Parts: sequence; structure tokens; C-alpha cells
Amino acid sequence: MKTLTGYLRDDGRKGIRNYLLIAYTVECAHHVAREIAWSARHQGVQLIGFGGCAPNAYADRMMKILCTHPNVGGVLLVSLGCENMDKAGIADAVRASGRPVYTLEIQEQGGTESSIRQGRRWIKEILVSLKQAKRVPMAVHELAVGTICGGSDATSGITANPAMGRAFDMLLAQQGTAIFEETGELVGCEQLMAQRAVTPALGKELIAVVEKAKHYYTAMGYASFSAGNADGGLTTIEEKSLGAYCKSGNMSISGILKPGDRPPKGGLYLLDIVPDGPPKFGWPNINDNAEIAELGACGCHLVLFSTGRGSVVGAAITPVIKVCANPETFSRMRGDMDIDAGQILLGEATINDIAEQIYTKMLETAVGEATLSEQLGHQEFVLTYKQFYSSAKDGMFGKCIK
Amino acid sequence: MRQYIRLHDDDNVVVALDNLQQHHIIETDAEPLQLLDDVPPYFKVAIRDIASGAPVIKYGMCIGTSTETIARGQLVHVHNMCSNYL
Repeated sequence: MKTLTGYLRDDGRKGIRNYLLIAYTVECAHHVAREIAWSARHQGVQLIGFGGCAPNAYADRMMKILCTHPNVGGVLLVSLGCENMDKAGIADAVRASGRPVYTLEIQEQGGTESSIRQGRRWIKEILVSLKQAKRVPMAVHELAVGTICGGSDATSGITANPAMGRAFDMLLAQQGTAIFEETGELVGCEQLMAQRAVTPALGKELIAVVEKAKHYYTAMGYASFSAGNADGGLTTIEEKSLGAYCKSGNMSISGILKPGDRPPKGGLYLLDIVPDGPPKFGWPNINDNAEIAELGACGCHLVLFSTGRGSVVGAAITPVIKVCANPETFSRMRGDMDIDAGQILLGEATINDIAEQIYTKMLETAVGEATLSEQLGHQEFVLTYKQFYSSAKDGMFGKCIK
Repeated sequence: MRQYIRLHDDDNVVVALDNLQQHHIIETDAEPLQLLDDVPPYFKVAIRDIASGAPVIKYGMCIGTSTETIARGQLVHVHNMCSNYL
């Protein structure tokens, strides 16, 4: 197997990409940011941002953490000027991390045209220095990988998800970091999950976060198990949840993270994406990309994405490896699918064969090979209002983030 | 195309991948198994006798409890098993 390499950051972490981020700090700055990014989208420039104007501590924290993600080499902040996002704090965090940063204020800059011109000039200069960065050796145990499923169908839980779980087991055997998510899809698996916790106290916490998710989704009017599930062959809520839960593999669970928490060491972690407190800003994550952004904020270098019906998304910052569960979908959408897990149904591969393929693809992606969604230019990104009570363990943003 | 998939060695059910007819015989690691019911794709078939009140195992994990004696070859679904989750 290839030796991994990465870009060494001042905090000791290594990135598998060296992206230049263009980050808008309110929707009003989105167009200018996009015009700047679009001109250089094939040169490792990516666009992220937050649309809201009213302040939100979670969004501030997410932006600070994502702008200092190991895969990011520099940041251009594009601000209108009068919005409430903590853009000075974000710029300070990026500067303190040793990365180049520049804040473009459209109101101060004299409007759209001059801002776009100025932004393009700055990124042109920074791209030259980013291209000169050298990769250094990186160990597999320095790699953090997230997992998600989207556009699921009846095949997801019997091909792609179990295979991704075994790929996770392989990564964890090398002391890497693996993060799984969506507590709302784990209802019915709490006891099984608690048995895998490294301590009894963590087991209780795992049960509590799924309990929290159940209440939150019930308040949103979402039932965990529907008649349609039974029509599709699923009999119980625990069976349905196991189809998603098996993405987490079989290793012990080391801890629970909230979005932006960094795992203290290698191991398997559950990302608790459901906001704390009474439902406040609506649906926890409005789509798969909001979840991928949170996996990235926990330090994931890349994300494994299983799909049965055929999602096409990639993501800004974290390359996405698409694992297609359904062989018919694969034959229709092969240009978007990195791994054909449907071979398991056809009898052409075993779950272990596909797990090996996924593991190899993870390492190839880490070395720098572009995934299909990267090649196609996908860089979806979504960040919305949320509320979490403090759990920051990284010290950097340790204040209460209510 | 496979006719069914067994997700874990400990499982007492397998998942049909095709429309399998009653009386159809499927090959297993043990003796060939004759289906006692029609089994639509993605539905479960018992590959061992499951006593009433015994756990139904899929993914190597318990997905619920049988509510009656289930014979090897029977469809396993809402009519003969239930959730343990309250």
C-alpha cells in the first residue's frame, strides 16, 4: 500500500488537501464570493458560507473550525460589512493557525465589481504559494474518516452500510479515527450501542443522546418507523436502525462528539448532531451536506457516503467517496459512484471484498487522488442555525456556545 | 443475482433478494431449505427453527422477538415477531 502524505499544519494535524476557501459571512456576500471562487474552481478553490444575518454561536464556531480544517491552506472571508457573524474572530482564528487570511468587506471596498476584482487578485497570489506547499509523510492513524448514508433504499442496509462498517474496522485496527452519525436513525439500537461503549458511563450517555434525538424528531413530526418500512420488508424499528447503525462496524465506541468537537485520540466516535434544549431552529440537519460539514468540523479528512437511490453530492473541504448499494443504480449512475457495493447482491463480491475496496479507496483519496464527486466539481456546503450547550473540549472555543 | 443474503454467521434469518415462491428450495451452508411461504425481495426467511419468545437475529444482533414458533423456511415478519423496543 502507498505511503500516505499530507500537508502539515501548525497544530500538528495533517491535511489531505490544500484548499483555498472563499467563505461568505452572510447571504448578501454570496454572489461576490461565488464570482471570486468560480474563476478558480479548478485550482483547489472552494466556496463555503453562512447565509444568516442574525448572530448564532454555533455557526460562528463552525466557521472558525472549518476555516482551520486540516484540508484548508488559506481563507478569503467575504463580508458585506454590517452582518452579525463574528468575522473578526474567524479571521483571528485563521491567522493564529498560521494560514493566510484576508477579509474583504464589500461596503468598504466600494461595491460588487471592485470587491470581485480585489478578491481575485488576492487568491491569485495565495494560490501560487499554496501550490508550492510540500506533502510530508502521514500515518494511517492520523487519518479521520466520517460516514453517512443518503438517498437510501432497501439495499443500503445489506450491502454498502455493512461494507463501510468493515472498512471502519480496518481503519480502527490501524488506530485511525472513525466517526458515525445521525442519532435519529439509531432509535432502537441504544442498548446494543451501549454494550460497545468503552465505559459504562459512556454507555449511559449513548442511550441519552438517542433519547434526545427521539424527542426532537417526534417534536418535528417525524415517526421513526412507518407502514412503508414494513411494506419494504423491515419488521421492527431496531431492524431498520441496524441497517444504518451497521455503518459503524464492530469496534468499541470511544466517545460522543458534538459538531466541532475534536476526538481526543484515535477510535470510534458517535457524532451527536441533534441540537440541545427544546426545538428552536427547526430540523436538526436539513440535508446530507449539513451533516458532512459537521463531520468535517470534527476533523474528518474525508467522508464515506452510502447511497441506494443515487445521491450525486460531494462536499467542500472533505472529499466524499460514494459507495453505491444498489447494482441497478450503479449501472445508471456509474459516473458518480466510486464503489459498486451492489456486486454483493449479484454474488460477484462479498461484503469483505467491498470493504477492502473502500479501505483502498480511502487511502488513495488521502494520498491525493480525486474522488468522482471531486472530479465532477461537486463542493456542496450547508450551514444553518443550531443550538448546542457547551461541550468544547479543544480549549480553543471553550466558552458556552448557547 | 443471488437469491438471498445472510448478513452475519450468527443470524437465524436471511434476506431474500428476489421474489421467492413457496416450496422453492434454496441452498444453504447446512441442508437445502424448502420455503414454507412466498417471500418478497428484502423480506426475511428463518433458516433455523425459532422457538416462541426467542430472539430473531440479523446483522448478528437481536432485531426483536418471535411471537410464535417459527419453522425453518417460514417468512419472518410482523405476523410472527415483534419489536423489543418500547
